[in-house]
Amino acid sequence: MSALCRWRCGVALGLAMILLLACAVGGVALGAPPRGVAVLYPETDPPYRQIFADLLAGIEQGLSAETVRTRSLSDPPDVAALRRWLDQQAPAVVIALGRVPTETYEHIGRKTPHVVGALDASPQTHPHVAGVGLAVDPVLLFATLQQLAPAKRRVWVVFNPAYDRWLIDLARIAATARGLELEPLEAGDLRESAQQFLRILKTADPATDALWLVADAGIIDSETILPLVIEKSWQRRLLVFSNSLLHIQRGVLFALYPDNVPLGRRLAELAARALRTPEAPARIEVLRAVKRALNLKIAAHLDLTLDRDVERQFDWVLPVW
Amino acid sequence: MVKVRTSIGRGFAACSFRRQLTVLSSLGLWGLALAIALASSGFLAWRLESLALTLLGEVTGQLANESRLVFLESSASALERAAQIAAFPGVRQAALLKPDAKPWVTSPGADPWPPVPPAREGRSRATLIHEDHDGWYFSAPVRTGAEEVSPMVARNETQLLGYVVVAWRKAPLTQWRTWLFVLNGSIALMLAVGIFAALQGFLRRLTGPLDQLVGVMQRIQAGACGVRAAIAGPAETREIGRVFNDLLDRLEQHRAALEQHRAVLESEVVMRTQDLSAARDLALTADRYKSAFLAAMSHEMRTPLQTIIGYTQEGEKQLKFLEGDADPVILETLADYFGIVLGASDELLLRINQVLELAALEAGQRDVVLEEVDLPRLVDEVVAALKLHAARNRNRVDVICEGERHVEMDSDKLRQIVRNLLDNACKFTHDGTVRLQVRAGNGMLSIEVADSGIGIPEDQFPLIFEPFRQVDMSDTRRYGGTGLGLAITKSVCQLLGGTIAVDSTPGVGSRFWVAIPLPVRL
Repeated sequence: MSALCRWRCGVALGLAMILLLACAVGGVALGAPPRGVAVLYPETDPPYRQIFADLLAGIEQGLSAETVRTRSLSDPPDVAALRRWLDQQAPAVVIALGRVPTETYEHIGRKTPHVVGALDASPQTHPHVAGVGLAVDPVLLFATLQQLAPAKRRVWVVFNPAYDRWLIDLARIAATARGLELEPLEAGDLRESAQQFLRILKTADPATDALWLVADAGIIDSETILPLVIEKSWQRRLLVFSNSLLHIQRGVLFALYPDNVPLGRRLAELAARALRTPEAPARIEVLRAVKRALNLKIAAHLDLTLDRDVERQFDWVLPVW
Repeated sequence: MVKVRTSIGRGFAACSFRRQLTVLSSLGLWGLALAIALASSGFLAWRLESLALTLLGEVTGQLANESRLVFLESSASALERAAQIAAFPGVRQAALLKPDAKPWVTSPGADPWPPVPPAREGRSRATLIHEDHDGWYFSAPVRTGAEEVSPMVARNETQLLGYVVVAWRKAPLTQWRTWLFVLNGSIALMLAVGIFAALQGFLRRLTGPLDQLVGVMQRIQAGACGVRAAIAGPAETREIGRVFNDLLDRLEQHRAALEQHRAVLESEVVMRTQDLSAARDLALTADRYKSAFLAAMSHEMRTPLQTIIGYTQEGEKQLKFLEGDADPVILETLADYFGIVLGASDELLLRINQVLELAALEAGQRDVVLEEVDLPRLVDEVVAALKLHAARNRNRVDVICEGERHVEMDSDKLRQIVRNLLDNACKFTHDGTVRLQVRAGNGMLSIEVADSGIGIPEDQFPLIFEPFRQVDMSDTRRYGGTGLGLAITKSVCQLLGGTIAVDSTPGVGSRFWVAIPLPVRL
């Protein structure tokens, strides 16, 4: 190699080093680029602890290629500590699980896109936010209804239009597609819902009608309306189904409830999509990752004939006794 | 009031030990029982009331929770619910109120309701809103919403549906309170009775020995002998009994020793009295013998002596008839012999007379014969009689006689006093001066004889007036005499009611003075 060539190589190497140094200094000056996904979840006691553990497991499965960092928040949370943690981690996407992490993160007001899960959120209450609510997809509900009671033609439902109109819109489509008639009744509070439920329980035809209980504590609480509905429906042999696991123990025929690991994976998919295309429109979607529970005692009371294959398709079956 | 209290206090203090303890313990026990009954029943009643209020609040809250559906239904069901609550045990009346706290439905026959305060935080927290003589009024809000908010629920809206007001009766609690007081009082009373009975037994055991000891003391005070206290009871009482018995033993020992000593003394007194009587009788006998002896001596000695003197004087007279016939030298020698015999006889007679005189004085056989005495004349006669004696020791005798000339006096005894004092002074003074001073007046006769003789040691002053005593009692004494002169002088002075005294300095001289009150009292 000639001296000129050696000189040129040396100059090129020096320029490369200067460039690398400049890039490093520039990187520090401009701030580190966002990286990874941060998951915020609440500090809870059993049985909720297992639910969030399953959700975290699903998220980590779905984001195996990404860096996932988790942080639990107490109630009330330490907002300043959360700010410092977020500053240190600089996540590109935040997954907020449950009420406290979601409210806290929204209170902080970061621009970082976030995904909401394990919360009874709706597009009406959380517009432009990606996530999965606790409202089960009506398609799945109606499919299960027709599987267990094919004779049912009409579904009654009481809902709060301030929160669940979007769900009723979806349900109306799903019902039409399934050949069912949806009879939604609006109620703003428990008093109105009590009147609506009493009206349904008086007028509904047990032979063809079924009652759908949405998971809204403002419409149906477990201490007042639910006992009333269960008692009256039992008396009238009216089929009642729900999307709350708690209702199955109280006396509804079947209920669909979240399958938490697949739900976590779905949340991970939404987070990955937000990583890839942060500008894409976001929306709370219905819950499709579900398990199914069946109360055979109610089925027997309703004179429903269910074979073993049908029973095996349910994840949790309450026996007759 | 104070006097009554003081008298009660004194009366109580005068009671027996056991009675005082009984009264005090009784008062203490009854007071304790009453205090325990009051305190325990009061505390239990307070605690019971607080527990009852808590329980009634909980029950009211539960009734309100169970009434939630009623608030979502019709007034008819609400009225029925109010009646159901009013039929609950212990409930006097019940009411359901609207969310604005205005009455909605009330149980039949319900009185007007007190104002209901605003609902508190919490789901069904019941509050005591009013209390009267018959009951407590609890108000519990009726709300919707979950007790436990799920961490997956975004909305937990609660809604106030109204209030349930329940009036609870106080009567059951009042009955419980009364029953508690009676029960506690009975238990405390029974305990007090039991403790009192046990205390009485204990006091009886404690004070019984003391009472027995007091009884023994009273018997001893009444004169009982040989009685002893029983050694029983507590340690202190046993010790008291032991000490008391020991004291009694010692007292009886001392008493026996005293009795024995008294008997010995009495026997000794008897014996001594007998000895003294014998001694007295012996002395009297001896005195009688002495007097008889002296009387005999007076006769038996003086008679021959008078004979000697008489015949000697006669012989001396006969010598004068022989002057010129006999050898003058022989005559002179005989005359000297006669003179010596006469002198010795006179001396002997004088001493015999002194002994007899002293004996007569001690026997009280001398009487005082008062007569008018010419003092200067008597003094001159005495001085003249002793002039030879004074000259023998080359003494000068000075005589001073002052005052009244005549006094009522026994002249023989006065003469005897003056002669003895002058005789002594002349005997113990050589080449000196003897001064006699006699003064009568102002109810006193004083006689003073002073000399410049050998003097008398002061320690001998008491002795010189004793019979047969002289200052120099040695075998080689210089001065003769019987030693009776001053003893006789003192006796005579005393017989006349006077006194005699002496003052002397050895080597310088002596001074005797006699004071006899006048007139002489017989």
